Amino acid sequence: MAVLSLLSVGHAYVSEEWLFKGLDFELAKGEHVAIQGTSGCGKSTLLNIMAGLELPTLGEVHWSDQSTSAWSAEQRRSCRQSEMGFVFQAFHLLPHLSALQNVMVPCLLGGQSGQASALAAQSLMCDLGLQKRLDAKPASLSGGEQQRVALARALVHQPKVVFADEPTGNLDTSTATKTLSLLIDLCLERQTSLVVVTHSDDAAQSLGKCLRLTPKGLLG
Amino acid sequence: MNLKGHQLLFVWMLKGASVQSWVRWWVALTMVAIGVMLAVAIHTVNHSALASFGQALDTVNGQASVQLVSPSGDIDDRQIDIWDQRRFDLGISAVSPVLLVQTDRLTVLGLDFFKAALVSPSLLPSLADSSTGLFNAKAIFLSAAAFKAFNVRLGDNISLQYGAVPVSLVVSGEVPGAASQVIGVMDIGSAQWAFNRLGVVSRLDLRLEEGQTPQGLKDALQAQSETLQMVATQDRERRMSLLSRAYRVNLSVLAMVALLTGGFLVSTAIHLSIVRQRSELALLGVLGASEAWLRRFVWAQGGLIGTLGGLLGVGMGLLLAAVLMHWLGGDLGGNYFANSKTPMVIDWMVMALLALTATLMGLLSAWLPLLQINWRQPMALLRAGQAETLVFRPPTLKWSLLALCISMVLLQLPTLDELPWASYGAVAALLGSGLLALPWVLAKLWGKLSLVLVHARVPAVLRLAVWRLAQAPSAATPLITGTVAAFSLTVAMMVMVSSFRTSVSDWLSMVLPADIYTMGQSMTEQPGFDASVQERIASVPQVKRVETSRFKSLRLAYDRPDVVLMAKPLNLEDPSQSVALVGLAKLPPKDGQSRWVVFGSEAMADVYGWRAGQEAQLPLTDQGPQTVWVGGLFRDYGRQHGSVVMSTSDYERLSGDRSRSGVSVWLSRDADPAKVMSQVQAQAPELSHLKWVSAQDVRQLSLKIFDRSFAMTYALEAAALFVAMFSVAAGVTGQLILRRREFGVLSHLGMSQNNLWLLVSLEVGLLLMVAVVWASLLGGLISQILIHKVNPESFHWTMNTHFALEQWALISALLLVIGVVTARWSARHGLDPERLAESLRADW
Repeated sequence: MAVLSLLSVGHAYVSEEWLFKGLDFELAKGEHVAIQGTSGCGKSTLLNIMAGLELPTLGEVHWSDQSTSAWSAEQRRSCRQSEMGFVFQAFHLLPHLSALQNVMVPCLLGGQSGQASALAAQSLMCDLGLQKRLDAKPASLSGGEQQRVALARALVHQPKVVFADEPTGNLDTSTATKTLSLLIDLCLERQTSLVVVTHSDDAAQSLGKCLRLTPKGLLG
Repeated sequence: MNLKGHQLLFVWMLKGASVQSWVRWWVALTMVAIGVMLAVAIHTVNHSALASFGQALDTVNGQASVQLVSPSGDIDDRQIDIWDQRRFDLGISAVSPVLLVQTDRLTVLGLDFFKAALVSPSLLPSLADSSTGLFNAKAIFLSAAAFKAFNVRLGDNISLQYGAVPVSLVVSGEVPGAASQVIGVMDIGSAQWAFNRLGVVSRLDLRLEEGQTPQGLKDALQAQSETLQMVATQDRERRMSLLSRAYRVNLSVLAMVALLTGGFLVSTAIHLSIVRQRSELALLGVLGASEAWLRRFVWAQGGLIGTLGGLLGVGMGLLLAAVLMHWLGGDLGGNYFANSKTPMVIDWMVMALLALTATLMGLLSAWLPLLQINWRQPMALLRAGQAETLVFRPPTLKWSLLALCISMVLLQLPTLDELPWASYGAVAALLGSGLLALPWVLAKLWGKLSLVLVHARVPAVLRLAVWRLAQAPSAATPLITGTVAAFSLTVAMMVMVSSFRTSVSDWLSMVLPADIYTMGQSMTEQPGFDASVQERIASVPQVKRVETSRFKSLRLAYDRPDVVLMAKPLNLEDPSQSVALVGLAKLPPKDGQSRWVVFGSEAMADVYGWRAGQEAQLPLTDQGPQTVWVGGLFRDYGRQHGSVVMSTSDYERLSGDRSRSGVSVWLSRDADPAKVMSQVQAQAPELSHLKWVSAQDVRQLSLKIFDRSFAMTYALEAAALFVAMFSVAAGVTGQLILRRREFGVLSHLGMSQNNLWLLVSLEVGLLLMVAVVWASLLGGLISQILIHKVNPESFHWTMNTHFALEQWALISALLLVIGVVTARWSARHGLDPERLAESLRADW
């Protein structure tokens, strides 16, 4: 059963100027996919459509074989909160919260208690080698550490899919490689599907499947 | 406390926001607190003064729920028997006459003790102390407060001065029912004798039969067209409240203005918080925080600032009230309650309401920025370069015109319960109209200017500044909205106060033509002196001319403060020589009929409907009102509740009163006023209780009182300027955050750091120039409403507009200079090269 599928999806910001059209895509449970493409081809838009953050101009998005077309904004938000994780190029950590508190955020938004959220976050952060940086504020963390905190935040609430847009774009090559391996390993370990948008061929190669976004769809 | 997960996150975020923006939070919170503080202080001081004044009145009135008074002041004591006989027909069980004598330092009540025992027993002396001396001609009984105030014991002599008459009395006992007020009680016959008030009483206190009500008695009396007026407890309360109500409401509205400008700051602070928090809020939206949760988070910030500001304001306001009552007295410099030393009475219900108003103001302030955010597209918010969508959308001119129309309609409406609520509404609507038109004005202005600059040789920085302003007028609007609001209110208040002061100064020059005057403690409550004194003063060397006048209180309505009648020599050939006429004099036609000509102050027209050239009724004796001809209306800034001027000869013929209460003396050119004053005092020893002052002293004292009563307005002007400054600083900081990428690009393209700062300073300078001009226009219009609507409706006097050009130029220059310096300072701190480089990195 596909966790996520796109059926004949197309998107245009300006009428009849299609970024892409007739795009079909399926993401199986635990599957890892890299999406590449030229600048401005709509990679980020596609990711937003997959995550329900934007609605496609054409076509349908199915989540766990259920069409999301008729979903309300609240249903989308709820699904996003419980079943998706996000990793951003600029990390986007909340600056006045500690690293631990940042990781706890998805659990707290999901209604878990403070104690349960802290336990889940601490455990994951230890796995990521951040056990000594639990109380550190984002400003005092290195780029690599910040992205590891962001990875922990993306996975702490056991989502079905993690979406990552250029997750290593702000890191040096060595740190980028390590961070991406960590992300892949954690997703493999938890049977979490992973969709990564990247410009880096190396990063794309390290994922199981690499697709190229063109105006006509995703090509293998 | 066991918080749910999202509640815990809410608390963390709120704490984080307060730490991140603590300076802005504190400034906004302080401004709200200042608004609440002023409102709390004004209300508490007035509430305390009125409570104290009311207590004093209650004491002096005993427990009598109904009284009979004469519009002309005194009641012939033969009326006592008449009313005693009418008791059964009118449902009155007892009539107790009271003579009220206001001496130099003590209010003395003359009572018929047997009758007072039935009507107002709280005023009776303690019999245990003085049963033998109760009717002694020299016996006076003091309240505990009077014992303390005069530091006397039983048997001591106490000297009082009533007009020119010195009176020595013996302290013979205590009045236990009036412990807290400084009063004395005497037998009514002894009091009439001692104070030379034979044959008159001040009022008749009544006790009603069971089943009779004050309204029932009032109806019965109205049917018989009595010469005496009935006054019930609520009439006394309204009369007392009217004394200072307009002044209090005016100050309260000023406090609300401070609260409103504080609200602007909260709005700016919340707006900036949202600008700073946009990535965080967007991230939380992406991670699944509900729109309701995010809205609640923004609301909570406004509500928290408002609530904390409100609570702080209540505390500060009570402290300020204590200080003001100590330094300015219970009337806040308004001179309504002379020498009032009042204990503080706190109205907790109003305190809670004001604190709640602050919370609502905070919530309202958060509501405006919330309108600008599209929570449905959190990713758009998260992306760099989308920040401009956060700023206010330009409203069209139609909303401004609508607000202007509302203002115009409100200006046509009459007062509500004698207060100018509609005019205050018109001021608010006009201010709103001016602010709503701002984006349109800016767009038009910068659009034209950028066209003009196309072919002009100007520095690139100036060209960039004008382009930017022309292309993003909506982004510039929030930067100066607070400034325009605050500065227009400052200009309005400045013009109003300067017009009022100039008019008062001109009026003083008109009404003080002589060189020296007498001043008494209360010229309407003191007995007069003989008119023959005029000739004796005239015989003093270097005295060129002498005029005497009579001041008398008249009660034209039972529930309104007294009107002052001034009888003085009048030049009926040219009345403008004698009174400060407003409009033309309309003297009676020479048709052979003899008419009494009087002139009424503007308040007489507003309150009693007097019109120049028409007849009116004036109760000069207790025999009923006389018909008089209103020859014109005049300006009187000294008597807010109304005054009437008539010639001395007419007054004497109508009232039979030949006494005088004031003297004006013109000196020859080389006279020494001090020397003449001492010679006059020697020549007229019966005037020793009066103080002689020069016209210059009266003028200075009057202007000093004026300045003192407007101290609060000056403080508000300063607060409004502070708001303007803060708005600029906060606005510039917000713009720098919003436009960091733009500045980053300019920096990468080679613009020097100095030129970047200059660009920001130029934009702010140009905007502030427009803000100053627009706010001055708006403030000028608002001042006209204050001058021609609010003031006449509140205080019943008009004034001429006087624009204080120098003061305006000074504060405008101050605003421009400080604004530009603040902008440059903000630019220096917000545009460091490292941050600019960082701003060009892609976020997503």
